[in-house]
Amino acid sequence: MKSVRHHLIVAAYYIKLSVMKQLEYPLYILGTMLMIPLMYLTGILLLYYMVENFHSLAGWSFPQLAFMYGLGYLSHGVMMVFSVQNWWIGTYVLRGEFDRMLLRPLSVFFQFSAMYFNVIGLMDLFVGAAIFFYACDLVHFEWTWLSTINIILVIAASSLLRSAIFTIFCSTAFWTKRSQSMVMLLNEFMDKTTMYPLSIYPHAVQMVLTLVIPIGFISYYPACAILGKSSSIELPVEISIWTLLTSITVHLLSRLVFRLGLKKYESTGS
Amino acid sequence: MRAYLYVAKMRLLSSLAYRFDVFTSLGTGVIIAVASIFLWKAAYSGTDSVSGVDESQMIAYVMVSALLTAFFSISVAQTLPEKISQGDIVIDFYRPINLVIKYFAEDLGLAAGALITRVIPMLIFLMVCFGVSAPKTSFLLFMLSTALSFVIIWTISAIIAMLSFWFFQLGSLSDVKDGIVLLLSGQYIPLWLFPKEIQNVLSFLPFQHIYQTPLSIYIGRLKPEECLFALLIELVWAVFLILALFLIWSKARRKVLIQGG
Amino acid sequence: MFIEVDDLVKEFSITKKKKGIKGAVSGLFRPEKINLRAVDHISFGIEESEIVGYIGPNGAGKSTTVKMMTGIMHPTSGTVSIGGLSVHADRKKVVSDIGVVFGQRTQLYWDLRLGESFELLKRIYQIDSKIFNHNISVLNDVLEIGKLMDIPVRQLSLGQRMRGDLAAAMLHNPSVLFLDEPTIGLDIQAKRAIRKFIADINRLKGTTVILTTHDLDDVEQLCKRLIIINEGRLVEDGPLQAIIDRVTPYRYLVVDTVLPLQDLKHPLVKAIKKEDTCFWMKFDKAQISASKLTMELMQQYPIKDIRLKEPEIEDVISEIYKRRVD
Repeated sequence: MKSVRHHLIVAAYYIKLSVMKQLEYPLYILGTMLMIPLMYLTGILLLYYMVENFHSLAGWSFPQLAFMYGLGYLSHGVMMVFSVQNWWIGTYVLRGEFDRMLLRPLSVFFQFSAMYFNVIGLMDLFVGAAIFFYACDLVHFEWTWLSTINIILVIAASSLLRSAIFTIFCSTAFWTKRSQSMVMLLNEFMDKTTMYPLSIYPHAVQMVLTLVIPIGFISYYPACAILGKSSSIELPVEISIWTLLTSITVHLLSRLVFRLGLKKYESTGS
Repeated sequence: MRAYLYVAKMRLLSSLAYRFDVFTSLGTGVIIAVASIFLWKAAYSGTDSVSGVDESQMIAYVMVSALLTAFFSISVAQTLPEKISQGDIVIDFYRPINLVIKYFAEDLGLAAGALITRVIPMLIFLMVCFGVSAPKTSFLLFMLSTALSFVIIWTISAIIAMLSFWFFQLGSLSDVKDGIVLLLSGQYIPLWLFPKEIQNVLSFLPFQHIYQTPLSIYIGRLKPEECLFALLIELVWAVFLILALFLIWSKARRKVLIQGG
Repeated sequence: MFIEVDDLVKEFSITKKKKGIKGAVSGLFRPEKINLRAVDHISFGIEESEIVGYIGPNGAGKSTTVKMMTGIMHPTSGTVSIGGLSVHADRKKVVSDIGVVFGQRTQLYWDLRLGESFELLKRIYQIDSKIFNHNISVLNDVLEIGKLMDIPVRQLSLGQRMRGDLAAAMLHNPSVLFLDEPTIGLDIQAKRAIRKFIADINRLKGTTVILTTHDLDDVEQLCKRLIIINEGRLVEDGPLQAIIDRVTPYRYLVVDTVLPLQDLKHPLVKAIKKEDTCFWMKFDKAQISASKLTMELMQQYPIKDIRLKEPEIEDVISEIYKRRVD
């Protein structure tokens, strides 16, 4: 327990320092924040005009599509706020940042996760949340105690899962030392698979995205469950539990991969 | 002339040197293309055609859009502000190389590199997995249109890069530009899906000529006279933007000189 | 032994880059690798409160050894233990009791103000507030960091940053301090201040100090014991004076004569230089003592003045570096 308190104190201070430092350039923050959602707004607009012209997409109405899209974008926002430093693993390796972390009496994974609170990511978070809750309204979501707790759990699990997948792939930078293109690749991949129903993809792809890299659990399966739609691959157990279990498992896996990457770093230096 | 060719070659070489980058940028393009293909297939199930465009045309549209996206690799937006502040401006005075043309040559080299490392592999992949339909109109017309589109997107990027001298505090103007291009150029959303009023407004802007025009020519959405007319408009925009670029460049140059970079 | 380095080995595998377009393409698919052994079976032990100089020519493997001793790098084989704990296996525990300063790279947080760096460290090392405040004021007295507290680390001059790094390294009262080139690039004032600091903490707190440096004044003034490595291997290990006596057992005699002389000869002496009435010569102090030699010379020649000089430490060290490692 004393250890938990220790970690919380350190994390809180890191967040405070991050925020203060970023607020030193308010214009930059503002400017960048206004630009970030453009790409994602384009995505939802595409869906809107598609449905306008084609009447439905794989059996999904616009409110339903927006719900899934919003959930995907919201989890992306959470990831951007808390885990964006995964993008910079390559840079950190080259600059010797991990040396600094290795010299401190705390787990490197913890230091790495806590060290940056991305203020700009809050924009993604807000817009994603806005789209999501607007969609909740469109689908006439019923806000009972149970369903609300369910939604909160789903959002939390979805974000954790997304961050964990992100960490796993970005950890390859420990070996390749270059993060840039990997990040773009990953972003593109996760976007395209969390913002549109998985049922548009061939069965084989859906299997991969359910069993191998469980991206389907970020927004598709939770959306199906909450909206009462049948997913094209039927899953035997309650979706929320699946999502939670999956996200915890993948999170643990991400810690393992990170540690492996760190080991590689420790044997070759910067 | 030789100097510019050398610059282009160097850029090509350096982009080949980072093998991991090569594979992952290829992967990015493939993902975008594949996802779009499935999305549109799903959209078209049960519908024959919308706004005169059928499924096979739309699939060709997204494929070629992805190929063009990969081809239009432009780095001037990132490198120009850096290099200017690092002192390229001095070189500008000492050597008989026009900086703007130099950057254009560099990006031509980059595009050539992208052609080899991304466009051709993607094309092969798409042909093998999905089959790519041949252009419905003359390939030459499509190439001409693409060439003009390259000039248009390049000049816009360069102008934005220079504007950042005055607006640097706001963050990356280039990202805004990318966002706007994504939204309004037909790169991602075919413009004929937009309401008529919006389409009208867009026809007065250069953006649709970056993707929509060459793509429409490719999938045969335009009758031959319409193609030539579209090419003409593209040409007009290209010339206008080039002039605008040089005008802004002369102002930017002065600003850098006075401020010392 | 407080610190034990046991048969430490470190090998690196490096990729060769090739030229031209063909080379770039083949580099994409089949890169060529070479093996490099930076640390070659090194063993030594360090007692508590020793100040040990760990030196060697560039590329000898000093920094690599230090990295392995501080837990930043894994050895290819061999072990390092500090206070009975394995550096590799018990990293967090070991690290909470050591302080590290790298001359080339700061351990401070680049974007933060110095004071914020310290506050962060306070929370990371769980330093009691009273102890923290006390340490800060003591460190301020010695290193004068008080005025630097509000300056972002990236804006500090090299000397200021070094002082900040030293303070940060000592904040949690570590038993061992690793210093890798701490005086590099500093002016004479700064060097003196840092040497004094090191000597003080060793004397007052009993901190064990391992010092890697190219600056031989650092070595002379601080290190009683010297460990010298070259080409990854240990070539000398022992008290500084013993090494000097062993490697350069000679001394210099500078003799001024009353009148210019042709020659100044003695069987146990080797002439080095002659200038008018001044003679430089070298002798082995194991063979004859300075006083005896002086007496014998004075009996033979009309000598006005005699000066005795010890070999410069530079001579000793360059002598050692020059030797081929077998």
